[in-house]
Amino acid sequence: MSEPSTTALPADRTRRSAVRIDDRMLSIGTVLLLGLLPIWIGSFWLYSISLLLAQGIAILSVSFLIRYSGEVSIGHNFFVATGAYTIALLQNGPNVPFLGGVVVATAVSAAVGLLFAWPSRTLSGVYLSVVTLALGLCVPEVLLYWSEVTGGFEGLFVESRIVGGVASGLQQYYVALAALCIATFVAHRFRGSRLGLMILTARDHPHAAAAFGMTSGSARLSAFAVSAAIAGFGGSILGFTTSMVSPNSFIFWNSVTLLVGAVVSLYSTRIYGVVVGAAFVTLVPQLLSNYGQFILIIYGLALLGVIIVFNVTVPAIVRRVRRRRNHRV
Amino acid sequence: MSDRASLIVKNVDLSFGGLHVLRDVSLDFQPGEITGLIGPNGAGKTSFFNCLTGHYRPSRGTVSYDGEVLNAVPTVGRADRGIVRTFQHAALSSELTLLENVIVGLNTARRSGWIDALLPIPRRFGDRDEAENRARRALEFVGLGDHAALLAANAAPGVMRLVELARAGVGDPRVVLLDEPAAGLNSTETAALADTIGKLRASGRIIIVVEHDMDLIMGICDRIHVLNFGAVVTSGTPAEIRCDPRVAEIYLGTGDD
Repeated sequence: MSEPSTTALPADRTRRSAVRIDDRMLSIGTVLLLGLLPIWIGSFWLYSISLLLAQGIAILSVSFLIRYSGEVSIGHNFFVATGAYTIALLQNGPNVPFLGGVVVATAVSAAVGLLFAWPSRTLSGVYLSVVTLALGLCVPEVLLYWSEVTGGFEGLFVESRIVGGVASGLQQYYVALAALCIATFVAHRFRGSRLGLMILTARDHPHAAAAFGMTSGSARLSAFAVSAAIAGFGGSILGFTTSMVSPNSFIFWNSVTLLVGAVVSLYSTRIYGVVVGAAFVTLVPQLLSNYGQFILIIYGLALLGVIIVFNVTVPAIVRRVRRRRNHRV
Repeated sequence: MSDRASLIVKNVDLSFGGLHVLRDVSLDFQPGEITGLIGPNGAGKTSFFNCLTGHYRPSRGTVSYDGEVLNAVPTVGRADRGIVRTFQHAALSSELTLLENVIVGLNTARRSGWIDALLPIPRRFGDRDEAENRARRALEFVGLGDHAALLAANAAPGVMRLVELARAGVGDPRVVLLDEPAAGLNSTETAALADTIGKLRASGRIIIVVEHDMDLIMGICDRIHVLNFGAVVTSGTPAEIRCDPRVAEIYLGTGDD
């Protein structure tokens, strides 16, 4: 401790509050822009961006898990698939309406997440990641094994209209947008709740959280269940926007895509961050569809780039700026 | 819970394998008092402290509060009984602001659960505002009212200790356990800390401080217990401890300055 401690107490209230307003304005601006976008774009891009928004919810679920439990999952395609197949089965069987299906799909995914997280609640770091890897790899096999229920390779059809008289493309787009708004709103609001604060404390200092009434086990279970619920919610919306679900959409590769999106979005729970992450993983393969074999390399470079820039370069710059400022004072 | 409830440690032994860390320790802690625990490194202070927080379970003997034996009550359950603690290495979440870190101290007092966490119900139906106001008052109490929005990651060590005190005190606790609150602080910061610990004193409240810093202990405590080799060597007021030749001996002459 060479510096006098008083300099480490900046009265930065005004600066922080300005940053807050910027965050909110960026979110509102993003929603407005996305809301008006269908005026300018054709049906191809409308569909692409609908997918982007639905994919964004799934990316948010991975970011949420990383943020609140500090754990990395590479099996979240499992929970996305759970949500998507739940809504498809509910529509094809008992003919449950769309909204009811979404609610049930979200709840079922949360329950499945809890079921998975319970036995692995004491695992962390690379051990947990390996367990989620197993989960991610088994999705297509499970779906094909029960093909009389899941429709096998063909998959299941999902109704993509909820109101008559409006083009289904527009409906898919606005439902996906509304769903992403709801998901980011809930995820962001969660942080200030009693449970959100406790879970964040448990992530950084399990002993401190226990001393104030929450065990690290229940914090981890809670974070995983909410993350799985968001993933399932995203899955049900993804089923709606693609109007079908099939094993091909939920291969292990999708989990990697979600993780790449989460890293590129800097684990953001804000809508603009999520959209940037989702845009990267959905638009890059589309724009470079002629160079398919390079997409893996681009993903790898992006991961390296983002991780190095934000964990090494940016902190170094911040340190340098601070040092210079201290010299001047 | 009576206002005069005391914390009673009776015949506590603690051993790890063949290593006896605590031997037949019996101490009473009275409400309204600040009690200090001192002793050289390895004397068993931290082990004793961990028996109070529930981190360790005594091999023999009992720890009881208000007539209830706490031996089998886990750390989480002690929070419900109004027993709180601070940490030697400030255990604040770096991603949260000072205010949010203090709100964590209200966890067991709050009713809100999953509905408030996930559904967009208006703030006035939840207890977020109430918790925020209480936490803000606690921050003002420790003199950090102007820094509520500061991220814990950017706070100085002395500030973090004060925030830990605010977090421990915000829920109106019955027992406050302070684990080396002055470790790593300079003398200015320690003085501010001593002031604040003194202000935490309340009629029904037991405050226990484990500490190396003699000035802090002598300045704020009503009673001091001296531990060495896992046993209580002597107990008394700061003045008595200061003059006790056994204490000077334990500290090789540094105990009386």
